[in-house]
Amino acid sequence: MRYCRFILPFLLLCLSAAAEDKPATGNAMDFLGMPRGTARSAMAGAGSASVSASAAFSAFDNPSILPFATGKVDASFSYGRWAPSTPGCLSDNLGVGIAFKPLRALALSVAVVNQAHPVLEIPGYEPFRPLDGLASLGAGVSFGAHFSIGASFKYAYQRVLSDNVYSAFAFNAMAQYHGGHFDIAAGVVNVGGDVKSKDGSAYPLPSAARISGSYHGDIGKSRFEADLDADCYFSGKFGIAAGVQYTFNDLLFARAGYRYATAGAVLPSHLALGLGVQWKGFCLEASYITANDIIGNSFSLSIGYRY
Amino acid sequence: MKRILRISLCFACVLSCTREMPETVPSSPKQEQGTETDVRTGGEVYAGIENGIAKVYLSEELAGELEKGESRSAEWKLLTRELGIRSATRLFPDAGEFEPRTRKEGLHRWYVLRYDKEVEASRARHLIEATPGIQQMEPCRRIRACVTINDPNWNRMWGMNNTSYPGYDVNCKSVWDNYTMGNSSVTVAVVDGGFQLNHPDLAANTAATGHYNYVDNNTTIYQHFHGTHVAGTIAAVNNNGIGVTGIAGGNAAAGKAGVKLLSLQVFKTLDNGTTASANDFSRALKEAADRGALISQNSWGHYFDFNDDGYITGYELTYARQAHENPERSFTQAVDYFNKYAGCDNDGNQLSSSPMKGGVVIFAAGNEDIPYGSPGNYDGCVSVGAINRNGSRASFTNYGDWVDVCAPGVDVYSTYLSGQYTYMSGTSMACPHVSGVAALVVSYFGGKGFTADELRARLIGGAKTIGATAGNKPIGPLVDAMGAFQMNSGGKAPEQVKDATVNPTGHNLRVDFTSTGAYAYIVLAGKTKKAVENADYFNPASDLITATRIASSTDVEGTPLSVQLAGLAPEQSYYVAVVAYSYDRKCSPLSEITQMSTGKNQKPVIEIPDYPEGGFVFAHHSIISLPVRFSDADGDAMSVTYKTGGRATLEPNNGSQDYYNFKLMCPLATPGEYTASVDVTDEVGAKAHGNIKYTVLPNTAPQVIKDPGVLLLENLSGTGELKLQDYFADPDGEEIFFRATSLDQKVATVSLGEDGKLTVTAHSQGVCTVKLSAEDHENERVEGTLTVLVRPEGTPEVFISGETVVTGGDITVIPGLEESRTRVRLISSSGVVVYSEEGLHSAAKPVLVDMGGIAPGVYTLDINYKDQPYRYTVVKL
Repeated sequence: MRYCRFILPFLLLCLSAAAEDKPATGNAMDFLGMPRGTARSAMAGAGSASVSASAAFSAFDNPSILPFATGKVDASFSYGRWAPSTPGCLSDNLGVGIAFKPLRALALSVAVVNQAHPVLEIPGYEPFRPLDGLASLGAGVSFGAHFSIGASFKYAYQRVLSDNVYSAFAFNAMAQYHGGHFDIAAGVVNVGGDVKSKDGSAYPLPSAARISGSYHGDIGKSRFEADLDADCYFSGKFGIAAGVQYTFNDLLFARAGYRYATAGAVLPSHLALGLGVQWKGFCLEASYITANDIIGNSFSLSIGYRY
Repeated sequence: MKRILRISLCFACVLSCTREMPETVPSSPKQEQGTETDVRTGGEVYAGIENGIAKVYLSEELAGELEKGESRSAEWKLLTRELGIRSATRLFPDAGEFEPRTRKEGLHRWYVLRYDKEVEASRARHLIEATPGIQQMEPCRRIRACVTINDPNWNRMWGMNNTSYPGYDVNCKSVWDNYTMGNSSVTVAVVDGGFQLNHPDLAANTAATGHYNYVDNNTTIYQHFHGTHVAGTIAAVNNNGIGVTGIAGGNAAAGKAGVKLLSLQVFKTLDNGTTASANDFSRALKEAADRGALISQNSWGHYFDFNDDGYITGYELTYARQAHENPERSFTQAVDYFNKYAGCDNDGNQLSSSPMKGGVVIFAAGNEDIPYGSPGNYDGCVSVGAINRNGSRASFTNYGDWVDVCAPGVDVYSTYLSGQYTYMSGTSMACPHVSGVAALVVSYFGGKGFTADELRARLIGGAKTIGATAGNKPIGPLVDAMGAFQMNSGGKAPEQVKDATVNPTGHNLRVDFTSTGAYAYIVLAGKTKKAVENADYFNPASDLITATRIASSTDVEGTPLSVQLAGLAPEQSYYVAVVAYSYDRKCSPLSEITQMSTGKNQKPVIEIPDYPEGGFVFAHHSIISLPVRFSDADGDAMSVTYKTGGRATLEPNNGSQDYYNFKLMCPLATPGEYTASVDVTDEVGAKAHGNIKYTVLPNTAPQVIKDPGVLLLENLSGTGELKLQDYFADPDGEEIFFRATSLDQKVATVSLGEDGKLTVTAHSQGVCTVKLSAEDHENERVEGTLTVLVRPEGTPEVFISGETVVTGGDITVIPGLEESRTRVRLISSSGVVVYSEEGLHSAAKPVLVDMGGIAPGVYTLDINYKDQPYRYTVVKL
């Protein structure tokens, strides 16, 4: 508990920065709130405090988990198709993430995602392909066996017309308690500057205060894990995701999750399912989203390696 | 000093007014009036009537108010607002020393209203005639001189001395030789274009003062070819060794001046060669008497050749006939005034300096070869037709029994502009021949007791019958100066009336007899036979009641005549007889004396045509003018007493004593039930009483009777039409005024016809709202909305109006015509629903997606209408 004097001021600093008055408008670059990593996607966004899954994309959400979840190296490549049933929302997402632990108490992570939308043809304009991109650099430091803090810095860009590109910087700041059967993390995510539209209006990023918990227990070769993530968006919206994971012999994974979100929250309510297999450090993951008429049928595949 | 009092614009709370109110301009002899607009130079013409100007005869009360420069009458203010009246000016201005007799004759109650020329003539007439306080309205007719100009090939003045066809002239040479060549005590007013006052052949006979320019309202006379030519025929100086002779031009060689010529200019040649006219000639006619003239020379008439083709045909002829049959009262009153007061004081007594009591107005018949000739056909005028040198009727002259005499009117040589001379033709040239002869007659016979009636009788009675006198196109006998001088000289008294019959008409008596060809007849009634037998016919005793009938030109010998004796006592026995006399008052023997008793007096009768049981019911927008007639079987004069209920008034129609108008401007009345009462009393005191009950209903605003709904236009530049009367109506039956405004003229524009037909023209795909309103006269209105959906063929049933790449504002989602449950969602590329709307929508109720609060990005507009999905991509920058 002696590290509380470091962790609590850090959290308060982050919350006060995020609690600035923001205009009551829609969020810009809401793709910042999409779950990254196939395992989290399979649990509807829950599991950001879980140390069992790959930490390659942790720079996007909870960098404080890095010291506890990362082996020497943890790398992952993912491909996903988002909202294939809704042409206007459809995007092909490619992501690469890598985490490594140069010191016992320090872990680093770098991740990049690119979302490409179909080419649009609008009368009066050259055909163009909207793009969304995100790059993040994260670091986590542990204080003993149970406490850690982490922060990540993100750069996001969005191209909506060939000559209209928007960009923004944001950061995540989280703190984690790592216990024997449960983990708990809290902090802020996607805190950053506003994005200005062409007419000069300012739109905030989808910043949120997050609290996340994870519990697991073992029965023989089976492990059961339950995860819960709650996001209180600064815009007043709210989302909560609950997920479960079953692991057999640390070889096969089955995941499911459900997210409930208030109207207009960054990630809408949906149900997610997923499977995974891991052998000798290599892992193959899959996720599938359903129960939402907009983002239903979204899926993600990833391949990773960690040791 | 000109007084201009501006009437207050404020019009209670009922009517708001933004128009400029008129000026009322009481006139005075000294005032300058040159600032008034000449409406004849640019006014529109409605069937020969000047738009925007009217003569009205006012009640004493209203005339008094206007004279003070203000009117408290709300009705007058309403009329002012509706017509846009700019000014109200006395037709016959303050006549100074002659003002008492001007007022006595009621001429001060004639006003000229100048109002907005855009007001339709029929509406203006309706409003004016329905306004309480306005007892008569007359339009202002267009007037022009009767001019026909020929080549100047003649060099003789055959009209005064016709050597080619002896006998076809005015025979003035004999008068010159035997009686007179004119006398400066006689003044002839030339109501015409101004004549050249300093013309070498006119100057000596030109009046020193009194000329007036009615075109410019000042005393500056501008020479005009027509007036100069006319003046020369009357009184060009004779025997001065130059130029021409005038019929009453005096004898310069003998040092005797001719009659005086007074120019009352009513025409003026403008710099551009066109002719400007005075606003109304009646004023000049009236003021001729006030300026000392005894003879009024008028070579002008109303103008009916509206299409200027040289012929009066079709509707032109109709209007000519109407004007002929309905002389303007302002004109006839002015003529009557001149005939009565020329040479007289305010009481109608002959001035000691005047050679004649009363005046004679002489008029050209007109040059249209038609059987009409207003205004000179009025009985108070001597109307003059024209003949050729050979005595035949001039082809152009108007004709008819109303033409009193004819005179030479073709190729007449006389004075002209700038000291020159020329030939001219027309009844305008014939007319001054008669004026000249009249002036000769007055010059010789004039003196105390000489009357205008005698002059008139000599002019007409002394004229000689020629071929043109009768026939299909009669123009009367040829005026003959010598005939006028010698008429009835040495004549005898008329024959006795032998067939007089007397019949009671109520308490009065009617006497019927046959004309003996006399100049006039006097019917006498007395209570004793002796009183009748010993009567002084021309100065009857007070116990005698008389009635005089002066024979008209149609009362030839053998014509049945009827004379009504009024003012007799009921159930009283009277002795009645008739005496005939000549113009020189030689009397016939008294007819047989008949005894007859008068009957009982009968009380007057009030008649209100179409008066419904329970009274009249008027809608609040109505302008009411209903006839109320009074009659008395005895022929008595009646006095009418009216007690108003509410705002309604009862006023005589055109000055009539038995025909009144019940007037009410309902928009000014408070809704409710009213009762007005009328009492009519005859001379004997018998009364009739009547009530006029009427109800003024409250005004009801127009209503929407059918929702205009949605108008679908499927072609760009295509049009659609709606008849707004199908959607709006006024329960009162009142005329309603529509307005229509397109709120998005990029999508569609609207135009509104006078018949309430709305035309919508499509310009671009989209939907727009057209605001409609219907308003009644009292500014009560109702509004409606028409939705115009412009959806070219091939366009999906649900579409987006406007741009899909936006920086803000609304994106309009336009569903189809039918109202149906509609869901509209705006989804970000991450799948977040940032806008959602669900409800009943249609093209009339489109969905407006406010993009103002939406962050930059690419969005999907997901629409579900009638269970059919529609998706559009929109970009917010």
